[in-house]
Amino acid sequence: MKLLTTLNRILLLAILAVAAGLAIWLYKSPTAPEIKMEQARIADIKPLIRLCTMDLYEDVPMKGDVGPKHIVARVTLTGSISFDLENIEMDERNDSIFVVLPPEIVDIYESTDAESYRVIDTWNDNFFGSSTFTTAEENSLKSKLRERYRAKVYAKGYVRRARSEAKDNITRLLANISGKTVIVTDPTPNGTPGGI
Amino acid sequence: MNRFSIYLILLALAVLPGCKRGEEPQRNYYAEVKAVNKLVLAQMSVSKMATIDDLKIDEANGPRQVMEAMLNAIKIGDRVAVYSYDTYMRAYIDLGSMTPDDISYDKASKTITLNLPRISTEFMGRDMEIREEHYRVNGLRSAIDEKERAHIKEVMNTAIKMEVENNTAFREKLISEAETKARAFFQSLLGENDTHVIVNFKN
Repeated sequence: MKLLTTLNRILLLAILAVAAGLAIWLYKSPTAPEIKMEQARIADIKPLIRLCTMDLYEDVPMKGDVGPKHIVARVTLTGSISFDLENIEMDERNDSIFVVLPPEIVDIYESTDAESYRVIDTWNDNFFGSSTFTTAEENSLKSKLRERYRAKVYAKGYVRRARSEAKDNITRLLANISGKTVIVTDPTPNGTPGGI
Repeated sequence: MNRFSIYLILLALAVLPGCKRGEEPQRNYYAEVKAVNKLVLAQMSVSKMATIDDLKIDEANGPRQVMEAMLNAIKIGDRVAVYSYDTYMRAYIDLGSMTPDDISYDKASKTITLNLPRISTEFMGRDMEIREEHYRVNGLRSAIDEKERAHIKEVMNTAIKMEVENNTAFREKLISEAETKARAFFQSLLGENDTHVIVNFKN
């Protein structure tokens, strides 16, 4: 009887050891990849000449709704205000260069820093309704956010500041390399919202 | 049930809600507006594509993946989606670091020599929107939601940055375009009346 109890204990211990070994083996083995990725590829290379006078970086909240569905997220935006120097209007008279400052180009992107887009909450006003946003719905909310941010860039005077910097920088650059007097005029010091 | 058991249950109820898997990172909203003086010479868009798909048994590697693949096999319906987006890089020179000594003119040979600052590259950002190239979720499978898409974008972002870091071809191509463009621009700007323009880049 005593021998049987001892055998039972040994058997139990053996089963436990095998189970533990199996659990460790399963735990240590690689998990299934959730996402399969293609190699990154160059889609386009564009040579250009742009004077960038302002870099923007801002965390902004994204609050939006589509029907009864609502979303709250945090987006880190990056952007720049630049000027196309390739097609700049330039006139040389005597020993002076007259330049007209071109319209600004306001680029706004999502940052490549970690966690630049984080969905905080989604919900549906209807108790049994789905709170899942489709890609098209989410993209549309992001486009609206970009346009709101673009408007803010003008409203906060960032464009005005960028244009003023551009005026100084172009004057300095052309005067240095040409040795001539440079006069830069700005027809729209506040920029052209909705222009480019 | 004795009093000790009741205390134990009450204690567990008090303590368990405090057990969280991980604290959500609390980041303050941050804003920075910086005046710069960069002459951007080239821009590159890098495209990345990713697929969400169930793991098949024949693709499984190791017991855990086999178990997951077997579980996937008994799920009713399919869940496949392909997403892509572009990330943008630019090559520029910092005009703020140029000094008058970087420009010289030799009257005898009618030659202007420009010693431009070293060309730098940087990420400008990525598309805010994500492109849904393919979406097939049917049966009893759950839809791919915004949190999962945000996660995919995060994973793709990390991968792109690593690929650009490890594969010098990305930056080399961009810098090469930028150098050509800078030479052509300054030649057209200063190369009037048979003036010869030499553009060098500092190391």
